[in-house]
Amino acid sequence: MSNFDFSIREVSITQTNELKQAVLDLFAGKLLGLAIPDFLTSQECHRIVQKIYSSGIEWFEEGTLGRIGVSIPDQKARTQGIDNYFAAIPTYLEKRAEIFSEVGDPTTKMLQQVFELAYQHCE
Amino acid sequence: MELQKNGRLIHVDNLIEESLQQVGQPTNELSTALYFQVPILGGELELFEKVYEDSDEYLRLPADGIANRGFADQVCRPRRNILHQPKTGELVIFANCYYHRVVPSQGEKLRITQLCTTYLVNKQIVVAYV
Repeated sequence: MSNFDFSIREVSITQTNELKQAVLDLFAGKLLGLAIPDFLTSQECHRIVQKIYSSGIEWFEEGTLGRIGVSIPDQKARTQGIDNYFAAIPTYLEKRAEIFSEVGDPTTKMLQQVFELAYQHCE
Repeated sequence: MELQKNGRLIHVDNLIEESLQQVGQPTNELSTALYFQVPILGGELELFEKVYEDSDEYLRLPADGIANRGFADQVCRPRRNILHQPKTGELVIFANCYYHRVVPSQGEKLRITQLCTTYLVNKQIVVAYV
């Protein structure tokens, strides 16, 4: 534990070297967490939230607990098995495409601007 | 994608161990949370300086059948903790083998996030939506 940095390191998306080092430290088990503020703008988030509410939320508890797509941690998915998770993915990807149609897919952005900086150095 | 007000119990995410061995030999698992909307109060991510051990099992709480499962608070006592207040548009990536939870929020605004687990398979980054 002596080399472990028990903190959430805040790094801007524009600080390329610091970002790369933080991801490497995460993969190496040397850092607890990384926070990238303003990864999306507030305007992008506002538009995404509007799209989410119009795309058909699956409510477990009306107004307090809902999801779109898949959710492995929930008990329903666990008891139904992993095959149901994969079966649900195509529909979820279609919904995601609609939700992010205006602002771009944030997962692609995450992979390109965060993980691909560092992943080739990992075992 | 999740819309959540009630928070999450203390837990660890070990997607590799639980369910995804069939896709290869995954390693280096991390969790990512992208915050599209945050509540006015609450909704913090709390992380504890403790990883899961088999001996913790006696503190596992019964699943409620919906989305919340985890451990009694004692599992992380006495351990150092960090309380992270997420902001709209922020991306947080963390080592999900450490116990963590989400604090319940207050007010009408729900916490809306995209949650993923990322890991490496044959040096390729794989993203699992959760």
